[in-house]
Amino acid sequence: MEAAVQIAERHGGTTTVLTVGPPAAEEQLRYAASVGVNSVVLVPTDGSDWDPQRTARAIVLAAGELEAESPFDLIVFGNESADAGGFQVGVRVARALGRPMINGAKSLEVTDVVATVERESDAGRVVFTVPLPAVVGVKEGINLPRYPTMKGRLASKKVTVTTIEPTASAGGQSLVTLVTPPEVMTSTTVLGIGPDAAPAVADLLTEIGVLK
Amino acid sequence: MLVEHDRGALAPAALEAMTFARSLGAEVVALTVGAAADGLAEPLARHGAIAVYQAHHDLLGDYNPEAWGDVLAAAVRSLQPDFVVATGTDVGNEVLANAAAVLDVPMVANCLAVESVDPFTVRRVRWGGSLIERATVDAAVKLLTVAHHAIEAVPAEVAGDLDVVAFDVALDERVARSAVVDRVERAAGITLATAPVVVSGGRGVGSADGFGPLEELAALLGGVVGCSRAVTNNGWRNHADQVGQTGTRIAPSIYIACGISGAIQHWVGAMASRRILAINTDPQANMVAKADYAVIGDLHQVVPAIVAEIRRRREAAG
Repeated sequence: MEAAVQIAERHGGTTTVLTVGPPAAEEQLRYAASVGVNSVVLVPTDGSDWDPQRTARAIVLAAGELEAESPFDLIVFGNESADAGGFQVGVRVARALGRPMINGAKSLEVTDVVATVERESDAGRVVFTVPLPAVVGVKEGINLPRYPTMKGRLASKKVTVTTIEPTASAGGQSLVTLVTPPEVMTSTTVLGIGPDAAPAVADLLTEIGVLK
Repeated sequence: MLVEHDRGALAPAALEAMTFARSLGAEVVALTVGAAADGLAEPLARHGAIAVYQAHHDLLGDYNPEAWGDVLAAAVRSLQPDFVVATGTDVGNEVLANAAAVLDVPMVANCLAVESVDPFTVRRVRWGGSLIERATVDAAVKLLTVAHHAIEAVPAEVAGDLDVVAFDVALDERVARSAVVDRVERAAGITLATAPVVVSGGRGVGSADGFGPLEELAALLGGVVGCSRAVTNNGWRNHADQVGQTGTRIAPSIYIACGISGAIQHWVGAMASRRILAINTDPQANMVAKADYAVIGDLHQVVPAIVAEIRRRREAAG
């Protein structure tokens, strides 16, 4: 959201935030309006866990409706959802819309015709330049999201939440259960208390070969 | 098996994914994208591939998620495999998602293991590893990425002869738009993700300047400095140094966590460390409970004492 709002501030234009979720997600959409997003759209679910194909199909259909008036120059996704972590919805949407998609952005700049995306690799930074309209997935750390202003809070109360209910069929992945990973029962060896522990730490570092 | 590489250098995660692929009980055919990867046939054979398909095309000079996805989709259509396995990394997840979108089939990211074949059920990572999902997959071909650091890469017991097959692929010229256009290589060789030693600080460090002794310790051990989210939120260090679910996943020989309480989001980024040493004033801290070793005390005294002890030993050794 912050990346989108910053781009609109710098270059003009408007921002729309869309989320797929239960009716309670309206609260998140109003928060978006409070930090400067112009319009907000809810694609409601019944609260059940939608698989990534279904989520992507719903977004593609909703985007089709929204773009009937004016097409988006740039669609921004999160790199992955914090909860389901499917790493694919943005790519599926981009493919369905026929647009290029770069995921993992740690830097995003746009001109009238291209988006320049930088992301991290083991060796450093990798740069892509994709023509607009494009789709970009951003990673946490790309910016520091702002907090709502008083004016923003008031605007968020008045914003109209548009609801689009596309008929999106389920895909092939289904959640069975969620389980907590077995607790790693580590027995912690206390090497000492305070600075007196330094020789024991040095012994350990020597023993495992990192102190030569 | 889609082989992740960076202009011919095999990604460490690729061998983990090979080990996972072998565990599925089928014959493993590797797909390398771009001529730069032709030299990878030997390590792939050692890790159990019976054949390597080498995709060549003018548009495959450097990494390109759209082009790699199209190549993989073409290979799936041509070879009709039961499974497609890739690395659970930025590149692996991205390419598999592209292929899954083209083929309109499911893709399951960051799998840990296959639990049953009928119905096909996998265990996969959610919430960055703090929850495990059991999920069924209903598709003729199952596209799976393998959670990085979850599996140890093991060479095959018998490395057989490997068929090398040229895989000619037609690509739409339009995919050129998604190619890497530039790279900014980091100056130093080691990174947070690959460092043998990571010395991290949390809220307990107290300030940006407080990281000085941690920098010294890391330098003495040939390691790098990391931090928790509290530190980046306070602006003491860059997000690039953050260890955790939304930062970097690390896997060093030893992780030295100084003044870090060990929230679950931090833990999932650190849990692949071989050993953990927690330095904390609070013996009840999560990080201390989960660590292999602990020093109970103030990091501002303990870390300089360790630095001094290492210097003393080095001088004594001449």
